[in-house]
Amino acid sequence: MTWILRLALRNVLRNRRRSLLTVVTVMLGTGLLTLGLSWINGVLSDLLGNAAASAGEVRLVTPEYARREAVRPLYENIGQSVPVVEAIESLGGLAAYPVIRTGVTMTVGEEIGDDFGLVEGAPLGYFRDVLGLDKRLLEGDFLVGEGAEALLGSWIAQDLGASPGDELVVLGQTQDGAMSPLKLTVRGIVDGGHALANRQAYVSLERARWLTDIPDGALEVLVFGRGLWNAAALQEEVESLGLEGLDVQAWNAREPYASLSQTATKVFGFLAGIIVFVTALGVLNTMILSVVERTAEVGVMRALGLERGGCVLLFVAEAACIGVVGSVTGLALALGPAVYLEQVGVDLGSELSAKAGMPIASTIHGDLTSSIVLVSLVLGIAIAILGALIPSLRAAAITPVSAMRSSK
Amino acid sequence: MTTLLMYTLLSVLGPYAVAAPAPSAADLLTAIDQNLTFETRYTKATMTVETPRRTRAYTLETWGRGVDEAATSFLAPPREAGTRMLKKGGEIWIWMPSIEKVQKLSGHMLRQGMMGSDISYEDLLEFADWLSVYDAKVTGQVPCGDSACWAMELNARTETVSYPRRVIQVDLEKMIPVRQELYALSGTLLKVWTMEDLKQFGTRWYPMTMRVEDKLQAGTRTTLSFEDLQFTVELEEEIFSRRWLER
Repeated sequence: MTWILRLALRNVLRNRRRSLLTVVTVMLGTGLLTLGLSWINGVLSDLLGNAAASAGEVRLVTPEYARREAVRPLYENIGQSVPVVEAIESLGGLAAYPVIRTGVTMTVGEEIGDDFGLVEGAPLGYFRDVLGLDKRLLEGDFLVGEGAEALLGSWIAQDLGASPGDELVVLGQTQDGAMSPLKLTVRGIVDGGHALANRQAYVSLERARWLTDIPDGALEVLVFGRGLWNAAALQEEVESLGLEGLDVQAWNAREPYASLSQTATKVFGFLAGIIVFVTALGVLNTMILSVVERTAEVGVMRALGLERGGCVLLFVAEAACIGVVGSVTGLALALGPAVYLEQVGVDLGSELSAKAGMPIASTIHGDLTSSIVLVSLVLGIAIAILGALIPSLRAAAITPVSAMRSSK
Repeated sequence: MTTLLMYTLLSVLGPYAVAAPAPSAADLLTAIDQNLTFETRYTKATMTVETPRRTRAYTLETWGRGVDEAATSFLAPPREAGTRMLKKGGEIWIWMPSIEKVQKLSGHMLRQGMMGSDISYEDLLEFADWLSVYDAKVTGQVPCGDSACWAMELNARTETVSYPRRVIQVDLEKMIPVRQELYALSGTLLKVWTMEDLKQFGTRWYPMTMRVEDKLQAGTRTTLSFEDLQFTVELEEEIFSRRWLER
């Protein structure tokens, strides 16, 4: 066995130009695979992560609110949210946040204007731990306590000409439909990450409760803690509490997130498939050619007494050497750009994000995971081996004389 | 048998058979106008807004001069206390003490219910002179409560009014539109406005209670009950100014 490995290595080093060409192909393939998969994973995580952050892994609402959500009926609220939050958190390892979102006009300055936006009221923990707004500050500071302060999304802040310290007047409605004004101080400007988030004002739950005149309640209770893809199990867990008069909904079981999740998973799965296919095609092609052009050599080796199996094993060992070197190098070269994509991302432009109507970030980040590294490495080596296996099996099957003649 | 038939006919048709001939629509509207319009008026009232989920009561004072000028000040509940509203020259301004700002109501805001009630701000602006806006006709007499009413139908000449069609029942003796059905152009019933507890003030009758039901919202009702109602009162000029709003 060792002599085959030694021979394979010698063969690899003997024709350096051919080996280098094959290594480069495997390297490019693995690099492309790593970058492509981490990019797709990033887009998918961004998109679905944003969706789940605003929808909760699971949420609780009144059935009537769920039915008429498009018009945000404030009077269909959860009158007492504290017992609901306590019941959910008693399950352990879960965080439940009562949230109020309502449409308002916002103004900075003397005259009350008509810049429409959304006010989102929630416990500060939701803004910090789920939305990560404390890390998304562009100007000013994060909210403190339940004071009359607001964080403004960067777009609405730009439209209003608002800066930290400015007085912000919000004109909304109570749950009875009465006009309801709220005076706040802009504490900070944040990049919410996508168009919808950047047209919002973020206030403490207490302020939102006053604005909507829902003294002890909320419109939704968002639940987090079991992970994005375990929402169905979490839904069952929360339903087991038997909270009366409330619908429990997993984020990916309700529209538009259900369609978004299914479509995105299919589209990105298809794209990942194309990347794998193109990579495989390139590597296979090079490997097949590099074996086929050595058919005469197979004849010589067979004439010298090398068994058919040994011959195939020799080519597979050569391919494995090339595959390992190519894949590891490709992975090493792709790591830099992949980390850059993850850290800095690519700006798609705010216009695209604004027109999407979904929580699509204007800057798309990659997401390089250990499974992507492993998949790229394994696929790079496996395709190289497969590329050598098929032609070597064919070449080893023909007689030594025929094989030696094939080079003429 | 013939006698019995006569009795039956008289008992059914009697009230109508002896009723006065129908007045013209113009006469009826003029009579209504004389009751409901005033030179000056002061009221203190409670507005109760009932929705399927909760009931809210507001205490308010109002001052009115003619059909174009009105001022309202909310006294309770604490959340709304200090809110003031001024209707002047076809516009409505509102002072919101919590933000210390005056807001002119326009566009979609006018269609919102005042303090979430079934009475919209647009209703407050409704032009009082129905004769110049609607084609009116008296359609007959109908029973209404314990008495009888003239039934009227008003169809707007233009599409700019809030309610292109009104079906009204006018108290036969007191000349008050005790029930109004307000329709959209499509024929959809939008609101039902009733006037009750009619009380005489000199030569005029005036309802001490008004109820409005927005038929587009299930289970809501607004009742305006006057606790104090005075006509032809001395009013300070300042009341109908923006200065008063911010005072």
